[in-house]
Amino acid sequence: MKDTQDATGQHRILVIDDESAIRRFLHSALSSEEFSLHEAASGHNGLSAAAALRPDVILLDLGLPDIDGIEVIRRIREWSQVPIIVLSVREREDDKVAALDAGADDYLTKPFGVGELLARIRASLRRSIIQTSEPVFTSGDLRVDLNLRRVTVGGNEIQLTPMEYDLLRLLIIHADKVVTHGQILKQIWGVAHQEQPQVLRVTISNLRKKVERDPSRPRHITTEPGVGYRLRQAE
Amino acid sequence: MRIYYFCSETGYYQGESFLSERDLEKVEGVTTVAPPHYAKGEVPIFDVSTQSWTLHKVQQTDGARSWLSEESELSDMKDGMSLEKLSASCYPVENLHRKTQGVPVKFLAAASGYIFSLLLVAGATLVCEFIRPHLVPTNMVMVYQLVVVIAAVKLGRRPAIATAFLSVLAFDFFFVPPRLTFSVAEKEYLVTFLGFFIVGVIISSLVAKVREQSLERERLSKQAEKARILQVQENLERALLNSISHDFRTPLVSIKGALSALKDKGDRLSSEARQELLETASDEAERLNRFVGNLLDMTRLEAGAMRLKIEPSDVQELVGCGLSAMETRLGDRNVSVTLPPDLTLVPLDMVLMTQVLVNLLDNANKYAPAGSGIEVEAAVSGDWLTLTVADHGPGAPESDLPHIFEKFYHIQVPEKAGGTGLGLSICRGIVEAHGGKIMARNRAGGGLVVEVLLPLVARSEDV
Repeated sequence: MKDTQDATGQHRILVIDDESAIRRFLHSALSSEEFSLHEAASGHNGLSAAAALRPDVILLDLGLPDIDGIEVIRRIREWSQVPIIVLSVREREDDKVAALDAGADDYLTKPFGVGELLARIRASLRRSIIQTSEPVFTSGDLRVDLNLRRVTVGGNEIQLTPMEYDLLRLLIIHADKVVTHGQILKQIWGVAHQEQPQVLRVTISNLRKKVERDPSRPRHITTEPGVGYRLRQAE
Repeated sequence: MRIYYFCSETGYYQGESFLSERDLEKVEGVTTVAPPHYAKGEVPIFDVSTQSWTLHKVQQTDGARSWLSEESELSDMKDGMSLEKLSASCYPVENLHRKTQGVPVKFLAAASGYIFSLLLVAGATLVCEFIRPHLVPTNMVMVYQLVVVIAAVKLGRRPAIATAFLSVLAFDFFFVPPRLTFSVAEKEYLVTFLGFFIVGVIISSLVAKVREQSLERERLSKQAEKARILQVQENLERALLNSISHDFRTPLVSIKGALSALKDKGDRLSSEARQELLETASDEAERLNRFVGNLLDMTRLEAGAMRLKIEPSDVQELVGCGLSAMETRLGDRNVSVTLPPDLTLVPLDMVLMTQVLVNLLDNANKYAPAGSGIEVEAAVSGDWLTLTVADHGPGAPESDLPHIFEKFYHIQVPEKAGGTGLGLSICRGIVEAHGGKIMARNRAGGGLVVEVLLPLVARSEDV
């Protein structure tokens, strides 16, 4: 991932987690030529470290002893667009949605593998460095020309309804990042449709039938149950 | 271990917090531990430490409200009680109460004994009236003696003595000349009376003694039964604990073993051996994580803490989520998906139903031989969505089929399967919370078919 590396060499990663075992594991797993790791054991320390250090990515545990993790995200978002990846335990979909809606970029469910974590960190860095002005998105057999509004799958052009196209474009802008149901509904259908998830389900279903080889095993548009959707960009 | 007590139509049960009424049904010997009679405003609670029922005063609530059945209402009656939890399947106590309401039971039971002895004597008198033309009065004593024995067997000592006394009076009044008076013409009848009465008392005492002994035996056997119930329950608890600790330890043993091998002599191991150890540790950590997840799900289901977030959902998306979560575990096993082209949105909780599908796929994957396929199908019939997961494994013995959705139920399986015995019971819990049904059957040619039925119209309270 040389293209994401900035001039100073290493990317600074700030870990805000009160569990020392997890900080220790992340430290040994992530410290490398590519990344330098910095730690904070509480929300307050994390906030001041974020201001002093200006990290390139923040890994944030939601269950902090002093301040609510969601509150940490809100305060950071008041002055910074640094990518925030939330580390959360299983089955707290509502927390994940709240974190993403508060401005987090992504989440990882504990326990997670280092490979998965690295992929998320790199995707976040890529998004923050490369602007979304790329006119053509390609992933596997899917190719979308955002200027010409042209979508091809395996070289064959496919016809999307305006709504399907808007949805696909929104997911492409946030490629590799999870977009919550609420965010999609608000962006595509406007505030009035926030409470009508059916429209979204049907549109996603139709979109998948057009862009996925097997809509029962989606490769491009994957579901994050209870949270939202993610457009995967194959490397 | 939390103990709770609950009642049903047949009586009161006690159980450890993991047991549902259904679980108890399969435990042989757990039947009724009958509560004592209790008055309005009281509730009998079985105290495990003293092995006895005690009556607790509760605040009276209105009418036929089944306040024992609602956990939320427990706070009303919890005052001063060590009551942890009552099953949601409680029988309304008001209904049980009605059986004894307003009746001074003990008095009535005692009075009915004497009334019965009066009836016996009246019966004997009628019989004697019929045989009077054929027999001398002295022989009628035998008829009266008979009812004294009956009274002794059926009613106990005191009613029997009363019967003997009434018999003497009746015999004197109706049959000893001069008839229909209590006066006696011949003195020797007084000896008959005295002899009859003494024999009556002796018979009463002897029979009553035998009766008490048999009652005592019954009481002892009831006590033994109670002890046995406790034993069964204890065994069940031990089995649960064993199962849980086994499921926790097995992966931990592998993880710790692999890691310590790497730590102590990692540099002396071949790279293949290191890789294998790492993969073992990683796989087992994954298994442990799943088990913890299952245990959490189960606990939340049992505690009624699972909140459904029901939304109109795409079944194809549900299948996709399940397959995606199972991707690494399924490996290259062929899973065929058959869905009707125009399937409507179905009201369901996507996260929990994904869990159901994952557990069913995981089960099929574990039991079916490598290389055989799994079929996932959805169909709509009437007001129900049918979601089917079918494998080509050995299926389950017919006698096990009704039980495979029970907690910690294992059928004989190859060692590698090594499930937690929780997966299918979690499925049942989640499906039933949706107002749906889950069942299993063997299919011709071998293999297990699990069918999930979900209502197409969500129950109003869930929406």
